[in-house]
Amino acid sequence: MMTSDFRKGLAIRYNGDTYVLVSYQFVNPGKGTAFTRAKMKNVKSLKLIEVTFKSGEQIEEANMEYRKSQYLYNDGSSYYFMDNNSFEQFEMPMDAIGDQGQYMMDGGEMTVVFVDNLPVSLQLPTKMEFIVTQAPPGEKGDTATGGTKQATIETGAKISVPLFIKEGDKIRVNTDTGEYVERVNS
Amino acid sequence: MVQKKRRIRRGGKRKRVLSDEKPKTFEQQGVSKVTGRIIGLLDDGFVLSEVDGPVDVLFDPAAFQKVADIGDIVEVAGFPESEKSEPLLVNERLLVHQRLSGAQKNIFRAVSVKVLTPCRTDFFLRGSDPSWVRGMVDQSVGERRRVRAAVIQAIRAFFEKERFLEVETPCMVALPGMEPYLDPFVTEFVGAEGSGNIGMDGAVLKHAEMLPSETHSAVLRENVLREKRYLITSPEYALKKLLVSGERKIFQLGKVFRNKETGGALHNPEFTLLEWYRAYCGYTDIMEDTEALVRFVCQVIHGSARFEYAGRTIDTSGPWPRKKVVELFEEYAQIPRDVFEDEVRFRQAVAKKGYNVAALTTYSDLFFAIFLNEIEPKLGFDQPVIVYEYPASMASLARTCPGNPLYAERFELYIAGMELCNAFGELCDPVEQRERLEKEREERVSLGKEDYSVDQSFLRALEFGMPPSGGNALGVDRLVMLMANASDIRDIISFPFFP
Repeated sequence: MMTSDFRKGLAIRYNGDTYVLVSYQFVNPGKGTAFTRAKMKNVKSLKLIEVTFKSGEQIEEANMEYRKSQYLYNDGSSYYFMDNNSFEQFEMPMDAIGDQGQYMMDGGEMTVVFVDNLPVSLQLPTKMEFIVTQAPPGEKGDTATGGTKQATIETGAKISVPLFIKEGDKIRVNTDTGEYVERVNS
Repeated sequence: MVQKKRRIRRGGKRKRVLSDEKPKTFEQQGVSKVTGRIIGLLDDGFVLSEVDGPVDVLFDPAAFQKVADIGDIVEVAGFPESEKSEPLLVNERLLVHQRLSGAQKNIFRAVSVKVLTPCRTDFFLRGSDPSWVRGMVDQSVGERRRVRAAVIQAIRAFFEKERFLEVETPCMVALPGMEPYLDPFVTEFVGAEGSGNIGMDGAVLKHAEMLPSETHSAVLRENVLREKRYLITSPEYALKKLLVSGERKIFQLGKVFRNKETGGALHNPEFTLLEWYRAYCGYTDIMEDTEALVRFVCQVIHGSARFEYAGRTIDTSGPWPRKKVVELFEEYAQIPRDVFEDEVRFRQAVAKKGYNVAALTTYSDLFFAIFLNEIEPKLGFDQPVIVYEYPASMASLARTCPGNPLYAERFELYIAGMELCNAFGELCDPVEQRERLEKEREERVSLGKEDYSVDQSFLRALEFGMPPSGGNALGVDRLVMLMANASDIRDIISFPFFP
């Protein structure tokens, strides 16, 4: 595998350890060969490191296994899941999941990536639908922010939405960027 | 969006008018007007984006009726209640307005509103929207545009003061620069129909005959002249020809183009490059120019030699530290000169630091692995730093240092971990230049880059004799980033290539 195959959440082997790609940036500095600067999280220590890979460099992909799982609950430090096939319960530290946690709904189904029987990352759909639980009327407040207001969705996450969104509306959210996409007609 | 045509009733005002007098017209009452876009809604009015910044337009609550909606462009008649913010003089031609502190507000009591142009969308702006869209509500977008204009004006003012001649050279050339790590954009000149017929279009045919035969870029197809052209990655060859032509002090501000760009905070495939050249001068004179230019621009924009960037205060007052490349490898990477100059030992040292040297095939790969990761990010956070004397193999267009042919007269300027410019004591020897360009051509081929000929017209210019000269290429966008305190190049380009 090469840096051109990189994607968020990919697990790779590096210096004898397994890491999950958190973010990466291709850089063509115009002087010297192009390279990729990657932020990776060690799946055991959860430490973030920054590594530079030269374009064309061979990178060892970790053996990833995808398991459909159901999110059960969290206890403030870990998320708990159930494997849909084996019905086994497992947990993932909140630090391992990061921002994706704000789109997890109790009972929601998702794909969990395992490496060597250790859950290392989540695969969320890029676009997910949520019910708006709180949406203050738009024509209030004294800050000029355009036709935008803050709404709360059923998971508790806050999303900027257009003024016409009301409580109870179903909206589509981009889980990569955290941005409102559209209202879903139901 | 429905009630746009309706006018607001003036019930509240009328009560104050004596019964046997005719109500005064707005003009008689001293009514003034404000115009702009409604960018926010209030309980008793709206926020208007006025020329000097946002204004709260308020209505008498009893009289308030919705006549316009968010996003509409309106004209409001009424009475200003507060003084406008004091404009902050940036330079003679440019005003940037001081933003009001949270407690202060410009308030305008409205008596009537007229919609000039309705907004026909939801006026919902996302963080990912392009900056021209966010600029409708985000004042900082317009402020950065003004900083950009002011930086460019200041650059011109500096070179005018220094009596340089501003020149323009082509963006499209038959042969681009040979830099091994740059990829030019390619385009094509297509002649008028029949341009291949003798006698039909003498000018085009004459032009084709003049083309250097080894480029083979001009072809006739279906009786139409076609010629491959490249967008410049730098105007260097043309500017050096102007030095040969007799100019002594020239500068150019223009767009250059680099393909296979990866985006990110510091790169855009088309960007604004400032190049300047001094004949009968050396590269230390160009270092002096560079210091004076950046100091001048900072003084114009900030009224001070210091500026804030990314939470640091950077002092442009000189003299700036000047560091040799070899000294930086010693200081920041603990690689001493004898190791730095010996590829085998250099490779061992890089491997010892944990780099995967199997992937680093050339000396330049090793160099940049250390330079880009361990040195560059630390340079120029309190004061700008000039980095000079590069290994000769990394400076094809620069002359070698007198007395030490291992190094060449090349320098770069670093501010806040960012490369601002690349300058040379220019190589004048046409024989050596030809050899170096041919070597770079081979390097391009080995890197799998597009292969094209060495520009013979550039070598011909050197054969006439170019006076000893120094020149510099400075990334204007990055200078604007520094002056606007913007961490991303996309924040200071109105229409960046990558979203």
